[in-house]
Amino acid sequence: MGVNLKDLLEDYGVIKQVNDLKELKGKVIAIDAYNALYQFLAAIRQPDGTPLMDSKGRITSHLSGLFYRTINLMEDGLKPVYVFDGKPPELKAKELAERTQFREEALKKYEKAVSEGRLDEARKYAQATGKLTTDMVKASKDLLKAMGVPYVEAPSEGEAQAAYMTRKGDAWASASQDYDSLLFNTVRLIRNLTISGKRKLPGKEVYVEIKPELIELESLLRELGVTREQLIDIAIFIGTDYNPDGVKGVGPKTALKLVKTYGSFEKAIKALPGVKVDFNYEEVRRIFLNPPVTDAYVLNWSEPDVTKVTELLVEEYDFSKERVENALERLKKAYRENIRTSVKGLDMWFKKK
Amino acid sequence: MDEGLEEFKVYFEYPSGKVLVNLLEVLGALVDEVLFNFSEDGLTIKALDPAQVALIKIQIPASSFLSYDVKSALSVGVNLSDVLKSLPKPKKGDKLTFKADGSFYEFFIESITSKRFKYRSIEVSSAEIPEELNVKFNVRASVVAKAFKDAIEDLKGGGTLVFESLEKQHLIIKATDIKAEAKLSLIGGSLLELEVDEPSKSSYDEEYLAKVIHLADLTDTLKVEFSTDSPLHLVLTMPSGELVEYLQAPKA
Repeated sequence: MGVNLKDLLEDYGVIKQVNDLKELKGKVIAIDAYNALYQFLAAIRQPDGTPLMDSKGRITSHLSGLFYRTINLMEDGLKPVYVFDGKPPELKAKELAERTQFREEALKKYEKAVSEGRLDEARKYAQATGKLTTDMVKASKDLLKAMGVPYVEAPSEGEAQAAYMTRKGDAWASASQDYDSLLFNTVRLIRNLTISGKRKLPGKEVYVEIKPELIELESLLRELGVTREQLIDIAIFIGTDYNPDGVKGVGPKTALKLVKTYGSFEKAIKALPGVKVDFNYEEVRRIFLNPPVTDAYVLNWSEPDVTKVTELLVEEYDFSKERVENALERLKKAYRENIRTSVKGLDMWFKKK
Repeated sequence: MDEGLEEFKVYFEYPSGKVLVNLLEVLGALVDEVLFNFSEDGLTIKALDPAQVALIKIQIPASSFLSYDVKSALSVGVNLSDVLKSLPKPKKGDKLTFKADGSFYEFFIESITSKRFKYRSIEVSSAEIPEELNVKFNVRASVVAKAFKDAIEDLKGGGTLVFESLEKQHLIIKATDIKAEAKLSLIGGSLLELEVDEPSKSSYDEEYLAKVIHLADLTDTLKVEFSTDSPLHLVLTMPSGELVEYLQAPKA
């Protein structure tokens, strides 16, 4: 779920809307793969909430989203690279257990709503039941490989690895719904990248246009008037994946005020009488400041392997042959036009000062 | 002119509202916001699109205006999306007047009926737009603007446009996606001058060129310059001294 900095960022006006993805043409974007796959799993469903499935009953929503959305991004000229999570930090165990419990409860509510014919509610609960299995993740990687799109195996958190890649200059921005990427020191974070477009509001016949949002860490820190270490301390107050409950009674605005007033989490805590901290904040801070990352990756986009994509999607997972063929034509064109012959920015043609 | 902004720091009257709005439309195709930079020498506008693929620079010297009064150098942040949504397209011969006081700016179109449009200035980040080009253009052509515009429009949907000039007679533009080409030649009259220091070939994104090609309506001739795998440089000098430069990055 990640830390919730939304209100704070909105108040300080640091969220820029990206009106047209073509503005990001030629840019390498490191996408938090699990985050994107879970988004596809939640969003790509039938009216009663049932995910897309093949004839063997295997879920294919994630593959559908990954395939078609990646092509859309490449048609707009973006160069996506997917970053998969490795081993989660031990401190995340509580958060992961809570997510499992949440999913189990959602499944019970979903089954009850289906049996009672409440389809709108069923869909809402179904969206929260999705679980990525090892086989689903492997199929996603196989699909990316066949599409000629690179992916990176992070040693631990995918967002940390993506952030590291932006710092190295290998990626222009990381993409995730979670604000944790900012705590991991990404240069830029793009939200809503894989879910942009018209979306139906849950339980309502109302559609909204979701546009990608861009947040630059440097301007965020400048506007808030804090350092990155202090931003992490604010997050620790609010609650992160490694201390999900945060500090009771402290929301984003209060956390900002406390950290700015006292300088750090520990100093602020000392000044607050009666506040109980039942987690290891130093360890949480260490995870954000020094996460395990790797340089063992190669970013190489290649011509899609039409035969392999067709074998995987059409023959293995029963996708429509015609739709896949049409999409592959678009992918080949996007690769030829935007990836193989990418447009370089003008800056290299000017004299450096 | 007794309504609207009473006090102003900048005031100008431009003879053709149509031309100015045409320029704003081309800018608006690349960016949403832009700075109008006024000095005693005239008005300068520079816009670099967010993907940093295309750059436009417009210079209108003080002498090109019917009247130009700038009390001190001033930058006015203009929200092009808003202006282009509300400002009607002036007709040929409609005069356009502009005033700004630091907080607001207004356009006044004098036609059969006069129309005034007032906007609040916005903060536009004056991100560094580089100045000095580090490119030698090995192909330098002077072309008939209408012929160049027709060529680009005929190749619409072509994806990538490959500009090539391998000898000193032709400038060929090929559209890779639709397997079509347009040839501008000295003999045919669409090319007025052509200097080729080295045979050159470079590819450009057609979508960008299509967005700005209406610039060609503003003048009879324009300069087209490029080198192998280098930016495309278009230069338009209008009869009354306005200078428009367009630079587009090549496809690698």
